[in-house]
Amino acid sequence: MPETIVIGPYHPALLEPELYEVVVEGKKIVDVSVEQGYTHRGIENLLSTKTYRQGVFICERICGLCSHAHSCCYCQVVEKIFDIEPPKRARYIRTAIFELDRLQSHYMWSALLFHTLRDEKLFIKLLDAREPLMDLIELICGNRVHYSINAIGGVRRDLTPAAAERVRQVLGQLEVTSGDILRALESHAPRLSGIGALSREGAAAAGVVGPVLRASGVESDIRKDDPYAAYEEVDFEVKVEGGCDVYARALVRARETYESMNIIRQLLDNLPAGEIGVEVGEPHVGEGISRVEAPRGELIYYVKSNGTNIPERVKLRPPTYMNEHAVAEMLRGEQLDDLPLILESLDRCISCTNRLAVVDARTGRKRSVRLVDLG
Amino acid sequence: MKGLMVYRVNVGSCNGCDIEVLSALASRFELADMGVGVASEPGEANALLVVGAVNAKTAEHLKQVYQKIKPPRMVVAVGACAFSSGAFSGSYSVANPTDELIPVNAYVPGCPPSPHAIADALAGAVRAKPRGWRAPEDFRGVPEVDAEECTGCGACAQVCPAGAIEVLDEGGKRKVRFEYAKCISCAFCEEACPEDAVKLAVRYPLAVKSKGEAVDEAELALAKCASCGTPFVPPGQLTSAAKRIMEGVPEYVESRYAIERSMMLCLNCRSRLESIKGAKGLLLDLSGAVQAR
Repeated sequence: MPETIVIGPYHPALLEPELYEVVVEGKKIVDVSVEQGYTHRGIENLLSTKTYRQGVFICERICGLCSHAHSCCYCQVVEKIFDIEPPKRARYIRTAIFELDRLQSHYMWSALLFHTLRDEKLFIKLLDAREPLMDLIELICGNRVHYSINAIGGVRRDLTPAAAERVRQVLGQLEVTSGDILRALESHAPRLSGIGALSREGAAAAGVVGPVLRASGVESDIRKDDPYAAYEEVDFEVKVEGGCDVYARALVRARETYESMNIIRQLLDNLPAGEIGVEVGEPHVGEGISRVEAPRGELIYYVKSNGTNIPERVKLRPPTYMNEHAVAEMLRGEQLDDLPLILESLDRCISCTNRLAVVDARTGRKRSVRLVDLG
Repeated sequence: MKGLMVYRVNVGSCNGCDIEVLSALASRFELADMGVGVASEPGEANALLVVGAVNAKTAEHLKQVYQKIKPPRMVVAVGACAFSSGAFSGSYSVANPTDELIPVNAYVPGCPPSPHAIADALAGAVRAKPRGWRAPEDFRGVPEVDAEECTGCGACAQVCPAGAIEVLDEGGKRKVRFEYAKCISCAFCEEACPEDAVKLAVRYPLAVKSKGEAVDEAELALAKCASCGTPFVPPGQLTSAAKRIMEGVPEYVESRYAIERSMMLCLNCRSRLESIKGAKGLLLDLSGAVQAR
C-alpha cells in the first residue's frame, strides 16, 4: 500500500525551504511532487520598478551562491540595450571573478555533499579550505557574497597587481583542496554510484543544464557554445562524465574546479591594460537576451526596454528551474534513504527558482504551482 | 546564556546569509570552542537565527518554528532582509519584517553579514569575548556621512537601490538618514555623492539590539525662502550648486548675484507668475552673455 511522506518545508535534509511529497511503498520511492514558493520575493516585478543601474544590485541578490552570474547576465543584456561594449580589461576581470565565484560555489557544494554523507570532519575541513578563497573575493570586491563588482559598461573595481599575486597564491592552495575532494569522492564512490540515475535521453527530455547535464554525457557549456565576456580568449576543457548518477555529478564539479583555476591563470597572464568601464548613454527602445554558464548551468535573462531608465520587463530563467524537472525521474524507484544525496547532487538553488505564484483573480487567493502541474 | 544550540530558519533568503552562517562554522571562527552548536531541528535549539525577507508563505511557518525553540528563546535576525526586508522591501510578496512577527533579541546588519560579524554576535550571546575581526582595506561596510561636508542634496537617496536613505525636512531642519537595517553596502551612495561626504566604513558592522541603534544621520539647518520665509533648502546645497554652475559656464560669473537670488526662492514662490517672468529675464541675460563671447 503506497503512503505519502511530506518532507519540508523545513527539514534537516533541505538547506533551503521546499516541500516534497514523496509517495513510497515500503522504503521504495514511487513518485514525488515538489511544492515551491517559500523564498519567493517578487524579484521580476521589483526589477521593473528600479533603474537599470539599481537593478544590477537587485539581480545579484537573487542568489547568494551565483550572484556574479546574475549580475553579469543582466549587465550583458542591458549593455545590448544601451548599445555599449565593456572594455577588454573589464571583460577579463568579469571573467576572472566569474570563475572565482564558480570555485567557491563548487567548494561549498562539495562541503555540503560530505555533510550529507555525515562526514563532518571533511565538511569542516572543506569549509576551512574555502575561507582563503572567500577572503580573496572580499579583498578584491569588498564583500564575500554579493560582489557588486559589475556595472553596466564594465566593472566598478580594478584588479591591482598585488591582488592578482594573491589570486595566484590562493589558487596554489586550492589545487591541494581539489585533490583532496577527488580522493574523498573516490573513497565514497560505492555510496554515490548507481543512485539518482538520469540517462542522456532523460536529461534531454527534462531539459536539465550545467553539471547535471554534463554528468549525463552531454557536452554542453555556454562558455564554449555561446562565449561571452572573455571566454573566447581562453583555452579550457568542458568536463563530461558518462556515469549519469550522483557520483558522476560530483566528479564533473570537482574536475571543473581545475578548469576554473586554469582559466583564471590565463586571464591574469594576459590581463590587458586600459579602462575598466565605458560611458553609459541612453537606452534604446527594444529588447535583448543574454545567457551565461552559472555554476549550476545555463542562466538566461530577457529585458524589454521602453526607452526610459527603468526596464519595462525583466524575465529570467535560472538553471535550477530546469534541473528540478528531473527530480521526479531521478527519485522514482530509489530508496528513501538515498533521497538527500540525490537532491544534493542537483546542487539546487531554490532562491533563484521560487518565482512563481498564481493568484486567483476572483477570490484573490494565492496558490503555488507544482512543477508536475506545469507539464 | 551558557551553551547555545542554534537553529537557522530561511524565510525567503537569497541563501547569501545561509552560506555565511554555514561559513561561520569554519574553525577560524571558534564557535564550537565558545559552546555554540548547530541544531538540525528547532526543538533541539535554544536560539533561532532568522535569515531572509519573510514572505506571504513563510510568515506562519516562522511563528511555528519560534514556538518550538526552547525558552528563553534567543532570536537573532541575520542580515538586512531579516532586519527590514532589505533590498526586497516594497515587493508584493514580502510580508512584515521578522520583528513584527516574533520578538527579536539582536540584529546583525549587512547584505550578507560576514561570518566574522555573525560569530561575534553569537559570542556576545554566550558572553564570550568577541574577536573584534578587522576588515580588509577596501571592505564595503555601512555608509557613514560627514555632516560637515554633506549639503543635504539627496543624490544618495535617489540612487540607493534598497531605499535605505531618507531625506526628511521637519522643524526647519533637513535630516539625511542612513538606515543600516536596509543597507546592502553597494557603495552607490558613496559614488553618487558630489561632495565626497559619504564613505563606506572599513569594518564589520556589529550586532545591535534595536533598529534605532543602526542609523547614521546628518542634520542640516534650512535657509529661508527670500520671498515667503519658509525654510526650504540647506545653504550648503545652494553654495555648491552655484559653484558648479559658475565652473561649468564661466560667462555666468558676472550674473552671480542674480543667479543666487533666484535660487533663494522656494518651490511655491518660484512658480508664481512674477518669479517666472524674472527667471525668463535672467535666462535671456545669461544666454546673451554667452553669445557675446
